[in-house]
Amino acid sequence: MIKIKNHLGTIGISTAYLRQLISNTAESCFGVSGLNAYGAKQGVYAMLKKENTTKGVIIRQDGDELVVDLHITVNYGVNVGAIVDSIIHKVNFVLSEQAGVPVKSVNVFVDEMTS
Amino acid sequence: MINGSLLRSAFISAAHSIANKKKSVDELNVFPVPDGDTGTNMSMTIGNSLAELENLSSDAPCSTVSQTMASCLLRGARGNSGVILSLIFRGFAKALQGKTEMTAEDLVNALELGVQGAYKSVMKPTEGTILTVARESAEKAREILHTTNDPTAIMTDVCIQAKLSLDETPKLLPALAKAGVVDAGGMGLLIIFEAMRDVFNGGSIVPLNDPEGAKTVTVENFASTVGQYDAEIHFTYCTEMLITKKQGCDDPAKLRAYLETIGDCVVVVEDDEIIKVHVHTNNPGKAIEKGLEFGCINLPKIENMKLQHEAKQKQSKREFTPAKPEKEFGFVAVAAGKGIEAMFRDAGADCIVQGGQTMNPSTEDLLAAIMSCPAETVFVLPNNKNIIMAAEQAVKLADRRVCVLQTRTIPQGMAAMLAFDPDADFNTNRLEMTNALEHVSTGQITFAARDSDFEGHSIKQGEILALDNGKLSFVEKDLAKAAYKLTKRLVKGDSSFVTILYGSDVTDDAAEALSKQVSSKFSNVEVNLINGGQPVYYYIISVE
Repeated sequence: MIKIKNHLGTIGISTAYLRQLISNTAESCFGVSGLNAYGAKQGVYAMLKKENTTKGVIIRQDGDELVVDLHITVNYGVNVGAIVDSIIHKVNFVLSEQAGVPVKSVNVFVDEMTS
Repeated sequence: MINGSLLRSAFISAAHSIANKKKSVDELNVFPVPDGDTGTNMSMTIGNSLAELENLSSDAPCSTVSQTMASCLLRGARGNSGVILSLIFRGFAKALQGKTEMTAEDLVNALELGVQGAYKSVMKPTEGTILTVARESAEKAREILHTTNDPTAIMTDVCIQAKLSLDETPKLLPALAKAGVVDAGGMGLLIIFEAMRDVFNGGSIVPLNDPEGAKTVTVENFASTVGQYDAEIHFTYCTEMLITKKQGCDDPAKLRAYLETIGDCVVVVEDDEIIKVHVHTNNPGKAIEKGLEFGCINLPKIENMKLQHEAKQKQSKREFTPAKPEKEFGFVAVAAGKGIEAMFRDAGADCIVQGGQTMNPSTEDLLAAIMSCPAETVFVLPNNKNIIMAAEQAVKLADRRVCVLQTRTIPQGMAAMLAFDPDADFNTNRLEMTNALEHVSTGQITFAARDSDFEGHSIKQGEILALDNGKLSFVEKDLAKAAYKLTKRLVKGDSSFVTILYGSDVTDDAAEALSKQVSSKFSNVEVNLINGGQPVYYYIISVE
């Protein structure tokens, strides 16, 4: 649960919702040809379930802000710098626009490449 | 058959066309993120290839031309549309591998491979974008391949299909339809295809209108380099010119060396055809004379910077100067009427902005007040629901922490100010003040400005309106009766304070009479009568 406090009260947004949101956003970004399970927990999930749509998205809270890690697969022959740049912008935009969560950083890790 | 030289010309012409039209493509952008300037991005991406394409020998085979193009685009890709463009041209490189000339089938393969690459690179392709335009064009090309073996004819049909697909994009993406535009990336692709078609058809290369547009030195970053120098003025005239190089001219470094002897802030940027010069000097004539030795001069500009500087200073004087923060908290209150203003001042407001019902201050007025408030954190009391929005706009523009309290009426603003504790921290104060303002009931007595029918009350012009916490409570003809009746409605069992602010249109005697009437009716409440001097509202009554 990500909690944001303001003078009127507290807003709690479930991690599952945010991960789904980020995952959907990332998948629709140009250049992301896949998201990769990362870490032991996600690895186990990935083995058990065929479709775990939120794999590759790791979020944590730093103060009132959100830190997002994305583990992606890219296709051979794209300019990684350019696409990562646009992924970061898009995720940042969607989070602030749709969830109203302030974003501290979006870190994109390019783990794999397909040809 | 298309040979290498023709393909090269087609690519160059495409790069020029998109650079020329980048502004109009930019304007089609509807998405605020992430690919803000599609036209600029596409033209920068493809513009990267210009220098290398021009360096190729004219008998280079198609394979070399397309390879060069693809690798330049890959390296120079900017933004989504740029990356997609690079993949489409990578299709050309793949399809033309080892070929000296391009047949109709090669062209179809090239388009198909490019589209495949682009689609492979995204998990969930968004239809209604450049992807759709590219895909449908490639499909069309494959469809007509058996009817012709002329690549030019295929390119012509590809352009027609691209135009059709582009016109369909608003149907696929609601955001486009809403803005009433077609997809910007798709538009860029169409421009590129059309430029290539024209060259295949025997047309000449489209010239570049704006020489800097596609080059590495853009106008913007040229200006910003110059901007850094402009802080101090030693030389009076800012001189800029474009020199079209003449054959066998000297090294522009010599021009720079000369300019440095007569001025400062020298910037000399050159490419194959032009030299762009910027210098601050007291002798602009000399600079231009020297420039003439290198070629024809175009667009010379001479500005007197001292005059500009003075004008700028005058302008900044008219604007407000931000006050240095001296204390932790400050207050800006919006109020109208001498009595009310004085009340806020007494309560500790640093700055009063004139305003209220029917005279809303602008965001700029509020910002000026916030900036002139010598505090690190400024609380803003809008005291009217129509001003809250403007106040919140000012938050983003201010250089200090600003908190807008949602005060909708004057008494709410007062209550909030009284709840302020100078020793508590920001969050506590904000909470306390918000709590306090919510516990105030406000009654307002005003008059109807025109005949209307509102919330089931039919109102005649000039009648007295009684508002209970902003909502119309009842309509009355007699002012004194209305005020008394409204007060009676507002006072609850646990109310202990009644404050009556009377406006500029009410006499002291009338107000006095009301106060007496109220205090005799409710023995357990304390009644305060204040001359607020506010316009519009005859009485503002607050009950705590």
